[in-house]
Amino acid sequence: MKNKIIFLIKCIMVMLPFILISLYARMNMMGYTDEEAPYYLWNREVCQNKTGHSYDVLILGDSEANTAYLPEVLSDSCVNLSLGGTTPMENYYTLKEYLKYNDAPKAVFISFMDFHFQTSDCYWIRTMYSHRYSACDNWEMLQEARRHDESSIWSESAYLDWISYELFLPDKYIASLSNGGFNQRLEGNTGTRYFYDIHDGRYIDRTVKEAPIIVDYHSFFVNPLFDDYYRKLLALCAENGIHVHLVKLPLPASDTFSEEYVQGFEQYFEAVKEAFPGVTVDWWDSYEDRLFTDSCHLNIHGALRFTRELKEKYSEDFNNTYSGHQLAGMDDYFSIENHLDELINWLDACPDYAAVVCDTVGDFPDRYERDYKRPNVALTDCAFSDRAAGIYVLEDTADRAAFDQIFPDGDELISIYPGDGTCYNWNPYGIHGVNVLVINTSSGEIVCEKKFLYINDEFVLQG
Amino acid sequence: MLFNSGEFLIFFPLVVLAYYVLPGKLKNSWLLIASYYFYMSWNAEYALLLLTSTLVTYAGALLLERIRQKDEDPGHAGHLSRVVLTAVLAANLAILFYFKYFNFALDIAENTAHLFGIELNIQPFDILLPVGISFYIFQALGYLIDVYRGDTRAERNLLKYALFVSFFPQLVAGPIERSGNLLRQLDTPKKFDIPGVRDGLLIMLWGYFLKLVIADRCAVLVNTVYDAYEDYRGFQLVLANVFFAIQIYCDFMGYSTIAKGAAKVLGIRLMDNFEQPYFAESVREFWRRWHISLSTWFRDYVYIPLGGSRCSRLKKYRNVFVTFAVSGLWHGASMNFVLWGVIHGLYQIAEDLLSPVRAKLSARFQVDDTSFSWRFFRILKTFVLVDIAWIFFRARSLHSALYILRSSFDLSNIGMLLNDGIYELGLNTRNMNLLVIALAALVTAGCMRKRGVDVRKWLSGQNLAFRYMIYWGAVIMIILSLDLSGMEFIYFQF
Repeated sequence: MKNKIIFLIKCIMVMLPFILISLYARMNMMGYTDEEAPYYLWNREVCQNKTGHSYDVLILGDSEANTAYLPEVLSDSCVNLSLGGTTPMENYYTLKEYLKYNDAPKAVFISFMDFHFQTSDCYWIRTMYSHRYSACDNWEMLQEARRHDESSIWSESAYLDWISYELFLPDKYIASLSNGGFNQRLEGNTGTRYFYDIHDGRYIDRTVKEAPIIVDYHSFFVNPLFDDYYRKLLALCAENGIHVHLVKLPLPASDTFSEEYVQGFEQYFEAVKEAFPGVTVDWWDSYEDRLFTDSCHLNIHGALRFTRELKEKYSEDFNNTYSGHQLAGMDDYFSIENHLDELINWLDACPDYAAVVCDTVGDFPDRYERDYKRPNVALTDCAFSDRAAGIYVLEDTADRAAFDQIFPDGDELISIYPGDGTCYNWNPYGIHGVNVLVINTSSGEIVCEKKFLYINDEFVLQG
Repeated sequence: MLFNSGEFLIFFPLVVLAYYVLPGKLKNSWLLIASYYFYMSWNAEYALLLLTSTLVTYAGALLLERIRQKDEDPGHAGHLSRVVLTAVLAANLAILFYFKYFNFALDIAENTAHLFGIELNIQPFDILLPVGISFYIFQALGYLIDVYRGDTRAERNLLKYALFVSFFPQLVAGPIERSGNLLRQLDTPKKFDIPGVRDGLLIMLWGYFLKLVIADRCAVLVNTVYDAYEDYRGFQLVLANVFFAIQIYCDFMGYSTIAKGAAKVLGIRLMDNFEQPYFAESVREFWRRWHISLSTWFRDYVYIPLGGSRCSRLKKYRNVFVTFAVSGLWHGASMNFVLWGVIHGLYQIAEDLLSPVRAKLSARFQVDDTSFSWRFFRILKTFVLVDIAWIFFRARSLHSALYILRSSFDLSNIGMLLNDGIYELGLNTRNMNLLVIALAALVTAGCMRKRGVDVRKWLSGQNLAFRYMIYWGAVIMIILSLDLSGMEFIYFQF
């Protein structure tokens, strides 16, 4: 017997690298996973209230929902818990977990693209890989997928794969470990995680890619597994007195919907409304194609428009003041903005921002009146002498006095006192176009400077 | 269930554990259940084929022995035996033909009819090739012929015989065992033996190393080139062909080694299927070292019955040609495989025809046949010949094989060896480096083996630190290859 035990120990010793790699994979996920996994971990931490926040409004859904809803524009008590690639199945467990650790929210907005009512494309490679849910929840999902014979999740090797993922075995993680190197992704993932924090969960595609794909929708159907979970999700909301808004998000205006599709959609959601009477169902109007990055994901400009419309429509669910946390998210959006008209849209969306504009072309006020005028933004001419001509302020119409510490200082220099006690010496005249300095009037900090060159009767971001 | 699947890594320890815990009488029954489960994990229905082949050959063998024992008239007994043998052979070969060659035969019939202006338009059968069918049917037939010849006695215990045909480590890709070896080992139940189990596990580790680290890595490069062969030329194709030679060797050798190790863990010795084939100095020698269980099967049950070499030179060449053409056909229902077999047959005929000339030239130029350089040249020549034949084995069609062969002679891009061109064939720097290290280990082990060193014994004699460095090196390289794994063993299709 003693020999057999020694032999067993030797066998384990030979397999030591296997065990050590699994342990490393388990203990240092931020060090090697790609940049989506930290978001899943962040999502879990928020649900488990490790961040110390509870929210009045939750957003649930897939990547379509993740790109469309901007929590920082909606409310300080709103979080986007949607996860890219997920279906109603995963979202049911998200809400279940959230409710376990937090008070029930007042309202939940739920949006899925049609695809995720029909199949799961990321269950293994995202949900399981990132250990978003507990082993028991994953097991339950597999059992249900098996019961419904959902081939996009269930396969003959599903239990083995479940074991491999739960134990962090190298067959599932070695590719990431090799590509990630020893801890080489830690810094990047920590940085990425910061964005999840400041944007309250919106993490996909913060930039603009203008390549929409046009789709003809022929039929609408929901696979049994996802229908089952969708109803469980709604039942969970009903049990906890949560007001549910089911939103079919805007799609590109060029998309077409067949009669059969519209009928299928209406029939399904009529049945849902019958089963869950308090639920509202919204099929949002289509948007111009330019507001999408692909067939269904809104780009940041589309998301801003949708979020503002949503906030107006369901104003009772959101508040109108902006917290410092929200403004940090907005700061980031201002920083990455690359269109002048959209920059003004951001100013229009948030009263806590102002912009100093230096116009070297000479017709900005006319152009503003013609192309960029927004209801919540007023243009004020600083009316300086010739030496510092063409300086304007764009600010909230209701709070005109928020920003006025600005005056010329020496040759082509403008001194700006944004409010945080510092003086910013701005030299905006070096370009032919408009130079825009965005200031967060709440914190009194300068957010960013954007130089738009005047080329072929258009303003184009320099660089 | 693949050897390189997680399923097997759970299945195997459970089988081993239960095997050694169960009392002696139940051990074979347990292995039989495990073997059928192993086979049914691919397609449960096809276990019926395995069972049919087993029952038919079992009954046939008993009948053959009974005829021999009871019939006092040798002439009549011989005639009756031949009838029984033919019937059982026909039944087994009919299964093989239907499931493996029917559509191929249909294709040939249609093409032939088309030549005469007749359109047959018969729909091909939608049949999935049962995994390992060529292996277990050949193993069962080998046993039957041995009984017919009186080389072995018929097995009366059906359970034991069924286990002989279906023994899971070698069921789906060999080695094709002989009754004299495997069946007799099943007579006695095995006890847990630490050195044997340790050896078995080490053999399995080496098998996994060959399959996962080398073969699967080579496969990436080979598949990249062969899937778009028209985009490549010259040295790129040569490199892909060389890598395929390595891939198929390590893939098949890997499987056989894992099979051998798994059997050894269970206390059963399987025959060696490879003996450093790429160190062969002639094609004939190559076939003594490559897929030994199949080549000896063809030698014993096809080549020798045809007359072997004890006949006129012309007949001998006919026998070689037929044996290798059939061997090619055994590998797959496609003209490519037949051609591959024919090429090997022709190689051997040419070698035999040219041997007097070679001997004369050697004497004339006073070449020392035992010198390293001469032997190295012969090894290289044999490898080139074998590698050319592999093109026909790997290519999807005759047209693509000929294109690859023709384009391989344009070596104007050999400079890719000196720049990063080699990394544009599907394998990145990291994987290429790992492959080079693994190949160095393979060649070292091969050289040691050729010098008569038993690598396993040698390793167990080394100090602990060195031993574990080797074990851990192998384990780490296998782990680093897991993202490439999941590929089937090439020989499963045969």
